[in-house]
Amino acid sequence: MGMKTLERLKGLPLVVVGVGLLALPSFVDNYILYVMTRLFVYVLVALGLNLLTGYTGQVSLGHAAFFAIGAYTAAVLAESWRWPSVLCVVAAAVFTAVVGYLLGLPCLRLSGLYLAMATLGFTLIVQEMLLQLAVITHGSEGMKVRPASILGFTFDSDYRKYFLLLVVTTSMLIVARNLIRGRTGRAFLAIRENERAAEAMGVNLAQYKTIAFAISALYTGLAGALSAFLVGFLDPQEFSVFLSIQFITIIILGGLGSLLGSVLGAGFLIILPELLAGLDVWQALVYGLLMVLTIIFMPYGLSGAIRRHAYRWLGVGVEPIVPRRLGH
Amino acid sequence: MPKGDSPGTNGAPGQSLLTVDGIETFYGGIQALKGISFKVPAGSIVALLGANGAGKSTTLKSISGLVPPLRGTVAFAGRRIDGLPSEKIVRMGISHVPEGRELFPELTVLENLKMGAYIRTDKRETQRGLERVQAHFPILAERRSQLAGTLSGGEQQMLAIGRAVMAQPKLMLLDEPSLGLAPMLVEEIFGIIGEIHASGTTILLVEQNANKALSVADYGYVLETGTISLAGDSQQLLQDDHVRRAYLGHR
Repeated sequence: MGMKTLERLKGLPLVVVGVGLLALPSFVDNYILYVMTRLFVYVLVALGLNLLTGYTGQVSLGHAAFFAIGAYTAAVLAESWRWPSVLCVVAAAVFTAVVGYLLGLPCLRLSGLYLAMATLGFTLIVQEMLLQLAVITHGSEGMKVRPASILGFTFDSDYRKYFLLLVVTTSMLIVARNLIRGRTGRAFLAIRENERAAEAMGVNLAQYKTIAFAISALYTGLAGALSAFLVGFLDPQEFSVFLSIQFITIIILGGLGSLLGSVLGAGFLIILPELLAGLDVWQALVYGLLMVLTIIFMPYGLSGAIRRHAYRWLGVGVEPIVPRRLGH
Repeated sequence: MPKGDSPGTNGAPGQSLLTVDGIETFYGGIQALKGISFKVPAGSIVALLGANGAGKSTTLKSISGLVPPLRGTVAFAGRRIDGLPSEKIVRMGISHVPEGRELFPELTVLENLKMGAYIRTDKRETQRGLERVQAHFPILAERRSQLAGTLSGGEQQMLAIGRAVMAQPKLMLLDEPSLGLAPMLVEEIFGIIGEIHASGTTILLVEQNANKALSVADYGYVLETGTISLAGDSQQLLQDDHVRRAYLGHR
């Protein structure tokens, strides 16, 4: 089998997955659709976080906060201000991007573990604010959010929510793909690889690092806003540091600096526990064990393993040399 | 020859492309450059010689903006560039090939080269640049989809130089291009430096290998502990007793 045949077959898995996702609702029950919808939300966050951490090399434990900001902005605009759903979601995403940009400014001088600490602090602050600014956020009571609707069409069933998220997530995946293939993506990668060299090539470090923060926050805020409408209730306890760690786990397991990795990692974190539900009390143990084994045997994450085998057996792509590092 | 005398004043051909005047550069409290002045005429190759710690690399970093000088001025093509961020300086036409190459290890050879042309927005220009680089360095064409971190030392040096060529600079700052390379590779690298020069790029070269450097350079400056101790055209320096004893290994 020649290279050309392989090149032509490259799009095949995508077509299969696409048809599968479109056909899925006809075959499965509402619970599975609900799980899939949650998966899409996590994919959106993972895409955003991977752009910042995997591609640009800036570690963040602040993404639970971005997620919360997106969710609460949408909820407040919808419930207290009665804004149309679409505007709520867009405004929430943009507002979160602005917050991300502003957080990126003081973080310019930080990297690696120090950046992780600073962004961790941000998550703690935001969660505390959700509890204390009860006038706006209803504090520990949480907030109810009615389903989103567009021009009278209400996304109130699992079926409708599934397709809403499928469309948004796929679109944002394509946006991310175009972004990383362009000039911006090259600047991101150069910053991750070698900041001094990137600057010597003419990359404005401060500009692109803050842009990375803003775009990453935009994705995460968008995911938060959509999640608010999907779940219908915001509990401030959910937006803890643990959620940030979950997000980071997704992209490390899936593969840093890989869009496919963002999808696979989210699948690992969301779908695997469901598959293991039958194991009852053993579930957490087996799940943890699988996580350890994955990272030992696939140091480049799931997508890295796929890429490596594609290189070894089919001769396509590039062989990875060392694991993607988290700051250095 | 008097301290800091520049070849530009000795009736050198071509106007001064780069003029460094009295720069003093510090690392924290330590003064690495104690007032360095020299000129690089357009179209020339100028070599900076000296022992370890003399300030050669710091001089290049002061020019390219990686370590801005505290005092003194750097003028390029008639405009002052000291104090500008390196990202702006590269856009004006100065490419720095730093010591230690500073590649993007987990990007492919091709991606590294394309990053070199980051400041060029014209795609056809970039493509032409790519062809030029691959003509200078056929090995890079061969290894185009290999990750830069997996290249050998000599190939990495070629990639670093090739990446700088991609920016199509008017002035290239080369820091120790022969460092750690086998003699045959040193010959090859210097051959290519000659080609790049012949295609119209002015070169400021830092080298420990004084013999090699002076054999390609038009002018040379000798640095000692942050000051210029000797200057002249290459032939003169090759004959100079002090240079021969200290840097060329003659007794």
